[in-house]
Amino acid sequence: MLKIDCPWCGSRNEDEFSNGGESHLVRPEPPTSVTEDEWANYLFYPTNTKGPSKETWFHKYGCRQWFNVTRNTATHEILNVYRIGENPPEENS
Amino acid sequence: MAGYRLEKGGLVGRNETVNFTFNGRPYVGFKGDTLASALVANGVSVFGRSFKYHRSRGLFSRGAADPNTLMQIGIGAQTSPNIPATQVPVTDGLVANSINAWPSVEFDIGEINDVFKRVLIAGFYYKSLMWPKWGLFEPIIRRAAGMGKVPKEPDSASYEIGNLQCDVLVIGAGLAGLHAAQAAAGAGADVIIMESDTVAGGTSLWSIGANANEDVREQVKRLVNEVHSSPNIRMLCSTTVVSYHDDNYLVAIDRNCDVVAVDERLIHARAGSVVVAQGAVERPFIFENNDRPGVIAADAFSELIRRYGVAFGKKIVIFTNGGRADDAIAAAHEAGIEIVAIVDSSDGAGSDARNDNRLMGHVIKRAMGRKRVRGVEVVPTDGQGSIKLACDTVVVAAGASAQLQLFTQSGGKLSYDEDSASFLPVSSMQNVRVCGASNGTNTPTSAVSDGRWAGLDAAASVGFGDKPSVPDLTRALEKPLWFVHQSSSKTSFVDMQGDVTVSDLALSLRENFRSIEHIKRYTTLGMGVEQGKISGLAAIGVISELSGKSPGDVGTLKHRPPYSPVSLGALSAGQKRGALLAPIKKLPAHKWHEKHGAVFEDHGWMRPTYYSMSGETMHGAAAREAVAVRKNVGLFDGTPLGKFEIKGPDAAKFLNYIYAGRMDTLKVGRIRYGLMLNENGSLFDDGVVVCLSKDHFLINASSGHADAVYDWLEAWHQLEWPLDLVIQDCTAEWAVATVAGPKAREVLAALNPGFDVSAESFPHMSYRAGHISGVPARVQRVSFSGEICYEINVSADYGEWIMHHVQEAGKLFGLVPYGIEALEILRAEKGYIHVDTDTDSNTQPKDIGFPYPSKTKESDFIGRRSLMRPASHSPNRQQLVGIATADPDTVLEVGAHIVTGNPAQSIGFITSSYMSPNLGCSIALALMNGGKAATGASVDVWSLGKTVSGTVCDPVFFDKERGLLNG
Amino acid sequence: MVKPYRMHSFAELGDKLSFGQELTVSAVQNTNAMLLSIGSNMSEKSIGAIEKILGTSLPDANRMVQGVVEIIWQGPYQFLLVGKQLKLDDISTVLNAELKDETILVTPFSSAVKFMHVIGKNATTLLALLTSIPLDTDKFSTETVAITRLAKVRCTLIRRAGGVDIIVDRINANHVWEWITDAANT
Repeated sequence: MLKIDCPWCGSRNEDEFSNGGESHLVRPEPPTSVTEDEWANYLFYPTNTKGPSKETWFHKYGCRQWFNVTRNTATHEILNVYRIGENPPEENS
Repeated sequence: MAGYRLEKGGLVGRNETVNFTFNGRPYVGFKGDTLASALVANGVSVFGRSFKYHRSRGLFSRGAADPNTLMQIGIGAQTSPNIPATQVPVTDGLVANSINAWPSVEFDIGEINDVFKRVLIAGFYYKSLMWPKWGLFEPIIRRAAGMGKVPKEPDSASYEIGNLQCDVLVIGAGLAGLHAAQAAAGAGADVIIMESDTVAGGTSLWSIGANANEDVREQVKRLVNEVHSSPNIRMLCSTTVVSYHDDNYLVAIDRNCDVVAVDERLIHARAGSVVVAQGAVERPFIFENNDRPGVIAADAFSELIRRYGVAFGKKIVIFTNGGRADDAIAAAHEAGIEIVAIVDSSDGAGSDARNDNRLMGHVIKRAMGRKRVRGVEVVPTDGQGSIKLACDTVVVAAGASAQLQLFTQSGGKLSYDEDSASFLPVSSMQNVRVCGASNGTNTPTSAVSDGRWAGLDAAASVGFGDKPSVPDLTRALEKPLWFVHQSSSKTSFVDMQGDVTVSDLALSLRENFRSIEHIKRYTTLGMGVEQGKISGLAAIGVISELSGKSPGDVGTLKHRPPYSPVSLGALSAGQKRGALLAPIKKLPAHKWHEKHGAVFEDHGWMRPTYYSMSGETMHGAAAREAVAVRKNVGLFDGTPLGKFEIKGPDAAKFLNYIYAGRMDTLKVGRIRYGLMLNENGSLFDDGVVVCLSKDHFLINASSGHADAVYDWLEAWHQLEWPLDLVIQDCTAEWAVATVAGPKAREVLAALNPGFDVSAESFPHMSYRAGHISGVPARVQRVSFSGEICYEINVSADYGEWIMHHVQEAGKLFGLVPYGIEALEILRAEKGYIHVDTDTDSNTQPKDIGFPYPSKTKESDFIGRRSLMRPASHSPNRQQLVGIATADPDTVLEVGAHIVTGNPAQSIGFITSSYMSPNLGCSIALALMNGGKAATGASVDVWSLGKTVSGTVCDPVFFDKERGLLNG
Repeated sequence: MVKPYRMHSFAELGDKLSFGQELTVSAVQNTNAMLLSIGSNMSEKSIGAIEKILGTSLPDANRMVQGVVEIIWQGPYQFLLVGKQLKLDDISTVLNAELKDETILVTPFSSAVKFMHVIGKNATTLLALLTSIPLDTDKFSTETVAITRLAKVRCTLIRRAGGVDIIVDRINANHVWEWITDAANT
């Protein structure tokens, strides 16, 4: 049960949120100039990092805002939280 | 026949007797006894029978670790299997029974298995019972396997969940834990201590050292008083932490039933920092017949004397590998129990020197006796010779195993310490530290220093006080004796619960199982209720000697929650049961529906499947309703529809991304059917979009997908297209009364909504707003039945009123309420799909007759690129068709397969199927490979061995010209 | 012809639960509300115009304010307005007129949300059985708003002087009422 700091509501239990998968994905477009490989890559091949990984979370039972989380997929430690459209803050080792 | 109550001593209430039964016989104990201590006091030796060999078993250990004394506690609805007797406080009227023994624990027919030990080795079921087939043996094995009985009645106990938060959580209220809590609280932190036992004290409850000094006991008493009077420490006894999760989230079970009005409380706790002070468990020695009743661990032996005032036996032999037996020796002297001999496997060099006439350099090869030890055979560690000693008890003092299960659940790593011959914590993954005996300390002084350090460290880590320096600690120096080589390995038990012997471990190594995790699964080592508390380290030691690897290289078994058994009832406290498990959604007009004979089913909301006024069946009622709608007019409750308003300059642009069709060309006051796809191009939802003004739209999503569509819209807006618009979920605000049928217009006119309802002014697929009796109303002219239809939206608090009012107004026109089943018939007659019923995760718009994207839609939309894939254009795709049966009275099964060839291959399946009362024949929709091109072809439809003939046809069965809608 | 009548969703369960002297839970009848959403790019000037109409600045995150109506934070761009129906209609008309070129939406919400008052010394003891957020006064002070998961559904909690208010979606109101009854009975 992760403890996630929603940028608006503060610290909450994981069961208030839902996970949206890898963050910073760039949706290829326009469709007419996207190859099969590019499209398949976007849909089916996430980076799947072991270690600090950037993902999106949705505060479904709270303010209903999406935000970014850097989470270590091996230790589950959440390193930082930042808004959509922002870059991740400097990460402390 | 060996245990007895001492005349004095112990902490039990000798003035308060308690009556209980065991295996049907009455016994008396004292308040404060456990079932185990009371039975031993009454001379009971055989507590139960082992799992596989049905060997007699007695008390071996204490607390959650004892492997042998599993009991069936209670009767009827309250009965619980597999509770260790060491953890059951005796209460008046307690009923306890042995398990896994028939007809009785004293005389168990299952003991025949012990004779066949040679055959019933580890994994025997992989190598035998194959011929003629496993199925013959399986029922027998299943009946023989398993322990205890499951209750047959619903659970009548009460449970509750509590949520707690604190700065520092201390697990264990022994000397180290109490000092940790006091130190942390002193630094200003808010502290919770959770102690699994009924009282605080931990090791001090049985171990006060060879000098019998009372310092430790007094210290604990003082600490407990201070804890009770400290405003920022909460201590919960009878509370077992069972699992350790991310970010210091822990789950515990509180069984302090005297104090609270519930039987068990499930606790969810979030701690800033954690201190583990769970103590250690005495290890077993492994020798021939080490499982016989009468062999007992030193800590359990001492605890019986000092805590319960019970002597385990009259003539004891103590088996040790060095210094750890001191407490047991002192306790035996206190109780006046005769020590026949002390067998010490160490060689007595240096500081191990003793002057108590112990047999140095000797080991116990074998215990004799079946239902109780009657003697032991002692041999030198090296060399020849054998001594037989008569005794009724063997006290084993082999060393301590630190309790680190919760620590490893937290992600903490262990490392093997050669000096203390134990696995000790070496690094944490979370904000947690270990102190006391679970950190390998072996004196009260070290436990105190370690505890204080841990408490200050925990508090400092969350901002209270300064970080302390790490103390110097003494740890036990052990020369482990992993197993007695001279003993027969076939009856040298490593895991008493699984009947796993040294011979089984040797077999698994011979069969090339290398990893301890594989050995565990092959032999069932550590898979019983005790989950390796006693058997884990013992097995690692044995495997280490047999394989030549160091214990560190053998490694530990992975510990998984729960630490000890948890009742399912307690776990259900958080999620609840029955009607509380998930929100039951009722329509605003629920009472009105009830009054009209609605038969409700859970369609996401509780909705009328049909209305039955005089004992009609569903088929009869639905047919009647469907006919009435097409003949006159019907009234349906459409409230669960998803309703979302989108407003802003970019609203239309956003909707063009969301839908496969064009929404930017939708005119004010008009409504358009829309398909939402996922990025794979498959159908996600269908619904309609209403244009309220050029920058203001109202989306209606299907009832079943309302929540998903709301999340979908917000996700795409926030993550991909943050356009200038706002989204609101208005689903809960509006109730919907749907009026459908050739006379629907007359009914609407009678309601006097304040706008022109004529066909010219209010055509199909358009929207009007007005008032009905002063209540604001929005009316959408859309249809799922193929008849003239108006969806009247009013504020949901008026939802009951509007149904009532419309029904009154409709009486004149023969208005009839209709339910879900009738609606299904009507929409199926029109070939209208349900997403996820008539479509699956592969279905794309063209497959159901919508050749998106249209030529004029230039902009991108979700799923557009996927529709361009070669697979999307294959002529053999599964497409929506109708199936007309050759015999009009035969109704196809939903899920039946359309088959071809020999042997039959499935080329499609029936998705919806009904007897149509308006057409007088059966109708069905199906998804079929290349179905469109096959229109007119004969097909076979197969289900559960029966084949029905049919023809592929247009999915629109009724009003093919689609003329009625525009009336 | 049936005269209109308004029925709130607790009608069949009754609207007051008493659990001894220290705890009462009551359902509020006939509340009036509107939902206000503003675009994420709205200019300071436009926000100022809204605040002038509402008679107060919009609340910060997890707060509520009292202007001509009560304004409860529901997200960075969404606010629940609670007050008398006439006042709400008035505000809605003015907002729609004066900010017609802005990205703003005000919709009627009087049926969509239901209010419960949990009153008494044991209010937070009860809530600890239903939700996992910290409830003691230093973490959840008066007039703090917390949108969280309670009884498995999304609710807005507001700390008041004598207890806690719960705002819940009409669809889940009965369910939350049943959970409260069950929790308070143990």
